[in-house]
Amino acid sequence: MDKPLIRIKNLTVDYASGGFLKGVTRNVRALNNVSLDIAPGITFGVVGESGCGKTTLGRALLRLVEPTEGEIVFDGQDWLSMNQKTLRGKRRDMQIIFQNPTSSLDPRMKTFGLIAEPLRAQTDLRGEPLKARVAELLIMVDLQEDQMDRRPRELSGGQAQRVAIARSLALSPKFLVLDEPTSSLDVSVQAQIINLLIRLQKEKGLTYLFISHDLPVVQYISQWLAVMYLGEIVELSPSDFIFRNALHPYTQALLSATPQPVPGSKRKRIVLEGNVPSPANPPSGCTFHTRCPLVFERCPKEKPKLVQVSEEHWAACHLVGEGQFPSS
Amino acid sequence: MASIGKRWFGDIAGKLEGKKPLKFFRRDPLAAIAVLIILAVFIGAIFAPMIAPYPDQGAGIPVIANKFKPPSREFLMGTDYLGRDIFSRILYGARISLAMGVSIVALGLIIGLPLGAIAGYFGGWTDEFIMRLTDVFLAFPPLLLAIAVSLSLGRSFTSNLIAISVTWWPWYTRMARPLALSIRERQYIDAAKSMGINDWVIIIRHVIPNIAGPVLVEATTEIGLAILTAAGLSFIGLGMPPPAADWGEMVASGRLYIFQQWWFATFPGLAILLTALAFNLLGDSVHEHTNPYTSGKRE
Repeated sequence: MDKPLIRIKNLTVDYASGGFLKGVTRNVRALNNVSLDIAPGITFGVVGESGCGKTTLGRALLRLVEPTEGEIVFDGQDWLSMNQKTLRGKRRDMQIIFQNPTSSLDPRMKTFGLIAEPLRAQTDLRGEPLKARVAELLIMVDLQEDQMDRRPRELSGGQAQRVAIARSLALSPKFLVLDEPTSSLDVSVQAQIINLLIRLQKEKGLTYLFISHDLPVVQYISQWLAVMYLGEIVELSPSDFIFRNALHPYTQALLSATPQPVPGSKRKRIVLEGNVPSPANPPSGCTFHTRCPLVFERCPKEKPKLVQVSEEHWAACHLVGEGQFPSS
Repeated sequence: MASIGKRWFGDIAGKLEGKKPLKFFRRDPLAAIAVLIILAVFIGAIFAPMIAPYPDQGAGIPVIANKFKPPSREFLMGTDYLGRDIFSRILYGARISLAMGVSIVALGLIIGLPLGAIAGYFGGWTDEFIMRLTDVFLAFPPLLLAIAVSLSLGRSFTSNLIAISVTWWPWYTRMARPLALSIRERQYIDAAKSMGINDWVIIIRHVIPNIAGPVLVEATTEIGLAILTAAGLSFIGLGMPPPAADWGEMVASGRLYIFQQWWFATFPGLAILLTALAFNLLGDSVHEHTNPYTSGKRE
């Protein structure tokens, strides 16, 4: 791997739950000891069920939540030790696109104001040059200039998401966190947005962290993939490897749950029993043991480490650690 | 103006607009009457010098010869102990009452709304400090505090405005805070933060405009209460200095003659009653129409 644009080391995020009136405060560990490197210019996919911490990972990267422990090195700089003032200036290099554009765009602002907002905050552009820049950004995301006067509710979901994309590109960032950018959109619009994101990545040399629960989309867009379960990474590798040869039983179950484009293709469906356990009270040992079809004595007792299986493939499962690869 | 209205009142304006005035009258006659009374009071106040039959008496010039004339065609509501036409005085008094009511609410909003937004947005110690501060002000009996402030500042419009506003703003802080708490969790706030926008700019540009609507509506309906409080203050002798026409003061001086010259206290009293009642009725109606649980239909 090249020198990474982002290096995340042992990142842990705790949310306090309960209040001082409710007695003991208990921390919910939303992200547990996550480490990964993201090379410049690639799309790094993060998949997992809801509540697995993938959104928290994105928010922690942007410091919208402050991590409890760990380290983030972004573009050669220690990202977590920066004070708020320095951080505000550096934020232009890292932007986020949220899942639902209707809630990530202030309903009282018009398209122009929305896209101009980061430019006003971080640059000296005003007046005509500002307008020109906004128009340029609108065209970049395939919107018309005349949409400048619309409010978010007057736009379709796809158009609103394009406005959100234009806004996040306004400051020419290096890195974009895409937090399920298509899951609130119609299927036909999803493909357009994905293709737009891929085109922009090529044109601008952007690096993406693509958070999603939609495996086919992730397979299409990302070069690397991390699979998360209950705040931990259970499998990590270039996405080809995972889609061809998933090692972790959870990844296998996820893959088997995606609809197959070829009718009659013979992939056995692995149905996971039960629900995701509460992160406030995670199971002992391997957190996946309560639902794992291949569970054995060691699983509830001991937590498996993320072991390197091949040069670019890591998985956290006792079976993998013992060299007995679970078959898919 | 229309765009400001839309920006600040947002959905509420959307819900109310488009309803035909006649239909509104039939569906909610009380509110319609309230609107008419409020309009009448506003028109009376604004055009008092033109409408009043005796503008100079309204402004305070006594005509002792006409003292205590009962209501007649000449003096619609009779005259007071200095022979001044009470109808003219009421019109001039409307100016003071309305200006007072609107100013109290406006000042309360200017102080209270941003403080509530700040408390809700930042949370933690800031929130704790601001909310305890509101508790301190709310702990005083409002009229008592107003009397104290008014006495120490002297009798004038400004001193009464300050006296009442001191106990008025905490309500708007309390109203704004929970709204700001919920706005804080919206993604567009996260989006703004991730753009590197300073917290204060976020409060001004995103939080306050998005919480102003409901607070503004609530505040508008409280103008009646503010008028009533101001009238109460002037009734006990802390109102406008004479010869200004002040409804509360008129009731106070008229009450000595209530059995002989009933009109002296009655008409100013009715003016206070109707104006305050009209604002209250309008408030009730606005609440009903904007509350999803009682308005029945939603689009």
